[in-house]
Amino acid sequence: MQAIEIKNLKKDYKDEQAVKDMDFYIQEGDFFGFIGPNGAGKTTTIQCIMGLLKFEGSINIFGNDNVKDYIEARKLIGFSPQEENLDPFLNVEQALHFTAGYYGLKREKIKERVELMLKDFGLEKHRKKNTRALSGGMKRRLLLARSLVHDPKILILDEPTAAMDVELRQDFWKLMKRINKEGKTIMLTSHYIEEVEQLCNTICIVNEGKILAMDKKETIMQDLSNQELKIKSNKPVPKDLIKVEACKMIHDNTTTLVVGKDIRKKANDIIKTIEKAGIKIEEIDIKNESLEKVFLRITKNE
Amino acid sequence: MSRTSFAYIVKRELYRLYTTLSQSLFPPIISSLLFLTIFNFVLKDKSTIGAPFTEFLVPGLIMMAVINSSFTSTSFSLFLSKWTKQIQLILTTPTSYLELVSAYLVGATLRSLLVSIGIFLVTLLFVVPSVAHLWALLYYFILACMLFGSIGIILALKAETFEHLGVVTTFFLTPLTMLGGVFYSIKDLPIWFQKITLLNPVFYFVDGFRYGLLGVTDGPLGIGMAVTFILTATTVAVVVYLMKIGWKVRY
Repeated sequence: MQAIEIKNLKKDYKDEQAVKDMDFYIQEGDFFGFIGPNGAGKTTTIQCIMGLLKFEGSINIFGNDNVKDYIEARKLIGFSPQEENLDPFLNVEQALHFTAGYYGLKREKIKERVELMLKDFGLEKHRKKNTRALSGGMKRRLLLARSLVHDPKILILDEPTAAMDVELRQDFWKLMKRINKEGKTIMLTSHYIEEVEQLCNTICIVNEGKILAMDKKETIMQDLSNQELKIKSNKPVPKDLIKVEACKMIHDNTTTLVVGKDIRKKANDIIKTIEKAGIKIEEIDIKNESLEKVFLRITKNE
Repeated sequence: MSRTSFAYIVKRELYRLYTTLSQSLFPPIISSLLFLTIFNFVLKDKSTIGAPFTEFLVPGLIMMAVINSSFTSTSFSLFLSKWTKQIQLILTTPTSYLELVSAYLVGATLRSLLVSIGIFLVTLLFVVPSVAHLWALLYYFILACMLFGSIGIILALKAETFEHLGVVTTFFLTPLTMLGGVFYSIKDLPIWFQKITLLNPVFYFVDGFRYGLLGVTDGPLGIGMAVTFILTATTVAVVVYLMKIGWKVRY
């Protein structure tokens, strides 16, 4: 079943078109990475899903139209926004308690869920602290706990790890993986591409309000990422010895780098050519380009 | 409607009131106490529209506090929610716009009720007010909470800074209340001023509430009931509509 289904989404602000005809869906149980440079339309898209913006097109949450059946649709989503929006009148425990109440949970259920969230997010010690007194990282934790307090089926996280230190971020990754394994669908935007690469199963790259690429992570990496073949030899490889189509060659004394698509398939031929020329190969290494490099290349149209 | 969402927004309003008692509940009670003390000394023997002045003053003071409390309750709460972006949390929860409007108005009504009870207790130091027409008391009390609570919501939606809220209080709400017949009978005014006063909606609230407590009126009761009702119903309808379309909160 499709957890989120977006059809012909368009969003205009006064002087610019933030989202230009986006179409995509997120499968139930998926961990969906939504990445793009600043101003690509990520937060706008998320705010449309959350009903915080008016838009053209349609958004369905498990089959519920998020405008017509917004009450049903919103029960199914938990949201952690990019900008902190905690209630300055409440302490940590109350912030969770009231949010669960706004979501319509029953009194006993609220108690149970609040305790679980405090425990899961390491907030027990801070339960009586006012939300304003929390550190940046703690505020992030509370926002996450708050987005999960009503036990939603979908979790939407807009830049959740900004302001988190390395340790906290790794804890967060573990927790997100666990939550996803337990069956929750997660949509994540992040500036740390490495984070998306580690966590997500499906990746959607957007820029200027349009989807540039979207697929399973493996497929994206296979289709879009270059490979890098590094050869170390006993003497320099002549510049015009190897001719491979659509590949970049970098010669640096005895090190030769071949960068391009499907290098793995071509590696055999390249090695043979070098050896035929009487050059001895001492070391070979092939690796995939990181998602970050793919991302930069696609969004900058390089 | 998801009932608990409504209940929790009201609960949160009351909690906010509780944490800010020194700014929300005590000031109107203390200023009423001061007014009563001063006027009780100075104008003790004066009779206004058939009632001793201190008794004449009580309903006006309560209504003035109800108007201010209702307005401040919704306007500050909603504006602060906008300011801290807390409103976005509420807007992403399964809360209907009707629930949201009614929760804010119920919050304003409860706050006004507490303030009214406080002032009523304070007045017992000076006079023991009787209740002439309970229905009129409730009618004007509830309408005032709805009307000025709704005006507070509209202004909070419109306002971009705290100053905007202050401007409305200083230049509109306070003058209208002060000139609404809280401290005098309009019959003591020159004819032209009496006519202008009849255009001031606050006058009908004060006069109607006074009718509820003392059983005497200064202006036409029927017209007052109609004016206050139509004005309140229209304003509440506007607020419901604005919330429905997400005016100034959902772009």
